[in-house]
Amino acid sequence: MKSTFLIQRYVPEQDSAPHVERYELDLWDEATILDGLLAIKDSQDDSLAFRRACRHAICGSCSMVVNGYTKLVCKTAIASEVKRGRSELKITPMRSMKVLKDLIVDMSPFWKHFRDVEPWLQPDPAKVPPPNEEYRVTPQQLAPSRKDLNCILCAVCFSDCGVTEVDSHFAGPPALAKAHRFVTDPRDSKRKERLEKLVDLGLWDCAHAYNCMECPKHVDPAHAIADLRRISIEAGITNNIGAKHSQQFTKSVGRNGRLDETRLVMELTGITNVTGQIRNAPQGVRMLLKGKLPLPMHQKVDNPKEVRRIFETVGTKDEQ
Amino acid sequence: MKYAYFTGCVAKGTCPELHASTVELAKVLGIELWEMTDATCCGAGVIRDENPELQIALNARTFAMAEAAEMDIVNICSTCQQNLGQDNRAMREDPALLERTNDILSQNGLHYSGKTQVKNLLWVLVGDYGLDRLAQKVVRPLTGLRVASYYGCQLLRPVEDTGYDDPDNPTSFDNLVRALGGTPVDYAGKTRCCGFHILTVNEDTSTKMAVKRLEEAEEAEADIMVTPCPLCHTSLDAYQPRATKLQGSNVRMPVLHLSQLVGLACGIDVGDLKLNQLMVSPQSALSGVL
Ligand code: SF4
Repeated sequence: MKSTFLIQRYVPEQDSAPHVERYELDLWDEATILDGLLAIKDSQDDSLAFRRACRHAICGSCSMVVNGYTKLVCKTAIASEVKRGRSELKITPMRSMKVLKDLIVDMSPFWKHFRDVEPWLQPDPAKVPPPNEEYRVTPQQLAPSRKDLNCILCAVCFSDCGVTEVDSHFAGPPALAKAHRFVTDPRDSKRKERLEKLVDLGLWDCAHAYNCMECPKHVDPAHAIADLRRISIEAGITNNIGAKHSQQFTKSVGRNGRLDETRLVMELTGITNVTGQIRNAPQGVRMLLKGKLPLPMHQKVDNPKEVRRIFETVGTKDEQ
Repeated sequence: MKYAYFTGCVAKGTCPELHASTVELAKVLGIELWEMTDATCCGAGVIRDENPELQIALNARTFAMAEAAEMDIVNICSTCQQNLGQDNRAMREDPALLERTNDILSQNGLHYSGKTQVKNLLWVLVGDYGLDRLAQKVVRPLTGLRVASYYGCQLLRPVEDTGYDDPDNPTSFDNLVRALGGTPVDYAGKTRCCGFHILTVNEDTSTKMAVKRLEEAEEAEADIMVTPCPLCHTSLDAYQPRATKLQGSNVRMPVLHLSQLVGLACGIDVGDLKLNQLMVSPQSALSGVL
């Protein structure tokens, strides 16, 4: 199968800016993108730099951006891109990390966030069995973290996350998925402390874009993050803007069946927070002048009573 | 063609021009809409963050109403599509969850068997209505107009719940622009997030994301952006002056709703499409078309 690789090349010590180099390939039909890169290195240009090791989607080394999305290139067939009508593969290094050379990035930011969530079990010493015995959990008890355990630290989701791209403070999908793994482990004794720390690390900064659903190991960080949010509200960690937003939103829907955005923004700013309200005023005026601030009564379903009944049955006390 | 029309909250709230233009467009295309005035908010994933079963119960009520009326649902918001789609699939894949949810609905005399389909307006236009048929309705072709179709993120993923396009390389929106006579532009941000869902929680990060999308479209020399989602629209248009000021950007990019763009090509009066309610005026960008 014929294909063209357009690879971003860059050696910071010698190039003023990255440039693209073009390589023509004609490989067997099942060849992966990694096979293509190895073929280039073998027979066209041995100066091309990229990470790889196991070639079987286990080591998590060969992540890079192919036509806009980050992939483990050992697991991605050239044909899968060609089938999409792209015989040209634009290959660039991962996002949100500094380029060291060509397709190799400095993964320090990734590891920093990972360390921040303390990715190790912290059991209550009094409950730890003696060294000759195992600390046992049942498969059912570990079910909530079953997917989290599959992470191979490849950083595919970290590179594709739109929040991570602009906000270096945000812990990012893999670190949060790993945090979920320990928060839901019944042997861990630091659940509450972990959850409190996660709020500072960006638990509520995920924007639900779901790019991380493309995880090559099906870890599903987006749902791990949603679950962490639920657990943290349940644990009473609600004195933060994210939890407040979620709770006020739900309450607003409980009142009349629809969201009243204007009231939500005012409530979140704090009705008595004069500075905050003044800061929001120009935007409010702009919206008003464009006829974009509706009267609250428009936001009502025909039968709000039915909605309230549902809230009384499934909602928590706080939500009603 | 007849659909149960799920407006969502924002088209009835801070984006009234979206609802107005959708109704006008449906008339011109001969699509009958039964507005679900009794349908609740889809939960936007926010209710799910707190209480997943509550969000599912609210959406099951909506599905049950559409099922009783024997209609599929059309929505005009990517977040609605994603949340309705996800909750619908959750119940279809888990009979015990469907049964539990039906117990809750029974107090309102409702029942849902799992039949309702949920489609965003984009998929209805491209899939059900068809682009050939749509092209025949064009009386004001968008000749020369460079359009940055903004798919955004939530319309494309999870693919089982959202639709009919390849999230890695979507083409439907650009094909629609071509059918209307316009020129689609390719740009890096077309499937990346606008940041709306953290606008009230982390305004700095959210507006950085929005400004990046606007700049990417501008870099590709687009005249306008178009979005199938009022939440993306809020970030990209309604907040554009504030976002660009906060982030020190000079970008200025008109952003239309999908229904406005199609309506424009189908000859609907500009006043009826409520283009004047857009925060960033598209007047000069559209001068070649109008
Ligand atoms: S969650 Fe998935 S994509 Fe993210 S680092 Fe782990 S294995 Fe890679």
